[in-house]
Amino acid sequence: MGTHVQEEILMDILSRLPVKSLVRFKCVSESWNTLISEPYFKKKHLNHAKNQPTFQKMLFLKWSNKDDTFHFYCSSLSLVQLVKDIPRFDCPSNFDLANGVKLYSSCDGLSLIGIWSKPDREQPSILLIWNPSTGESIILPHSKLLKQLGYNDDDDDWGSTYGLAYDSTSDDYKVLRIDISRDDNANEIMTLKSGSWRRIDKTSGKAVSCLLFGGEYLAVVHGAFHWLGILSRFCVVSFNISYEVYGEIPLPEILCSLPSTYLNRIHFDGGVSELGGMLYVWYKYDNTFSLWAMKDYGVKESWMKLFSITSIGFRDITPIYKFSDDKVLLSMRVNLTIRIVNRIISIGSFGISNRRWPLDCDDIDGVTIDEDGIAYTESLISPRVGL
Amino acid sequence: MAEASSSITEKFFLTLKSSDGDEFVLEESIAIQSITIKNMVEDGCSSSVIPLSKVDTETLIKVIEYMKMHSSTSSNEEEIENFDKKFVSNSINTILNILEAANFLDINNLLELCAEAVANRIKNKTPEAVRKIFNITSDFTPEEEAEIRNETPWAFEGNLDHSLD
Repeated sequence: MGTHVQEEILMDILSRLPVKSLVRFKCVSESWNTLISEPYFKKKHLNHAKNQPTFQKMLFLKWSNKDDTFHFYCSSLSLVQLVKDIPRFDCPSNFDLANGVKLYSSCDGLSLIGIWSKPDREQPSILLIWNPSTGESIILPHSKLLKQLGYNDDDDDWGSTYGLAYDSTSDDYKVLRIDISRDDNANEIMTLKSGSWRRIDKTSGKAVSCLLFGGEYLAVVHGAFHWLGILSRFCVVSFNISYEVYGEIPLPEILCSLPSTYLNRIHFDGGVSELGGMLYVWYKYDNTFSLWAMKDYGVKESWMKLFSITSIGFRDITPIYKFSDDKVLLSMRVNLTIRIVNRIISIGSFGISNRRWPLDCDDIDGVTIDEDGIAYTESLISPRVGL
Repeated sequence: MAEASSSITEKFFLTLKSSDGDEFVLEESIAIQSITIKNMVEDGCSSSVIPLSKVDTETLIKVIEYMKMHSSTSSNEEEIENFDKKFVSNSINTILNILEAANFLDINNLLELCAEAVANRIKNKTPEAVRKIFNITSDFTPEEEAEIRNETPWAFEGNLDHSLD
């Protein structure tokens, strides 16, 4: 019994396996262990996983009454699989999650997470990159610039937001910190290989003041970070990951023509998202939530409205994921509560359907979900680059 | 390049010879799903018997069966789907042999189908079962193996499959 297979074929088979199986199969033999640990194989596995619905997951935080604390959970984002099993993850290094956790973004299976040791602080006390599929994590160093500039922890300011992206030019991951509190440009970037923060040159494009507008949402598409801000006007600000220069992408005309009493940091309610590799902008205005897609990147005329739904009864509506068949998963809070519910909006020939998600799961009733979830791809990618 | 004589109505046949020496006659239009064979035909090396020294008879029969189903204009999507489903219910060893053949013959969708099938079949298996299926002797000492296992105990949780097929 038993067949010897060529390494090429073996690699093809293994690159289709879930992370859990691969981690288990490291002890099959020395050569399997080597193969599975190789960066080349990890990338091959990632490239396969990216296009497979069964490898798409949502990471979220949930309060557990059993031990009176928060835990990370993941659920499948496959419509076929629904949420049959929701494995619990041990938080890396057993941090206390009770004072605040923010799931900023994910890239290639790595999640960027902020953890607060004291509530209501401007900055998270710990910023970490965690691969929830393998359990590997690294803690990022604090920004020296922030200390230098000084920030007031008691100030109810908006602090910073962070984004994570892969730079194919340098084969490295980059973390971007966007300063929301200051008008002068205090944005910083860190490459994982270097492990230190670097202030972004003010001359990197025309950005004098690129405030993050109404939210902390970053979208990575087309080799650039994106967020809503003001350059020469209200627009999508882009920041190229490889060349580190700012750019400007126009918004749909209808959005720019909303009253100025709404288009400001206090009242605007919206953001940008990456869904299925495309740039989306969404906003809530006049009790209506609208989602727009930019069909051709950078082309203003290609903005297309996907749908508008009533937002009465809900707040903090955020798109999380787009299923392959044009169904969009929205996360929202029920008004006057902290309760988060997830709904699937689909646009069909019979109009818009709006249903609760997951359909078959009583275990994660919305009441106990604490933070917006983030979608990620199950991968073997290590946050310890170069290792 | 199509020659003037290869009109649409005329059928060309190729003879494939397995490593066991058995010969199979197959329509050219079906056989050229294999890029390897297609290249041979285009290079004019197909006038005589095409020897497939890496493919045994049992495997070649399966591969031909697959190519016939997938090229036939009469088979609809549902038929093909059912065929594929049944096709991958062969033993893992048979599928691995077909996989090797598909790799050699360069039949991409057959390769995909079999690789996916093997992955599906082994994903819940124990390392011990995987070793037997792939004919691998562990070169780890018991201590080394225990160390790897202890690093990631979660990967060994749940109902693991000990069977060899």
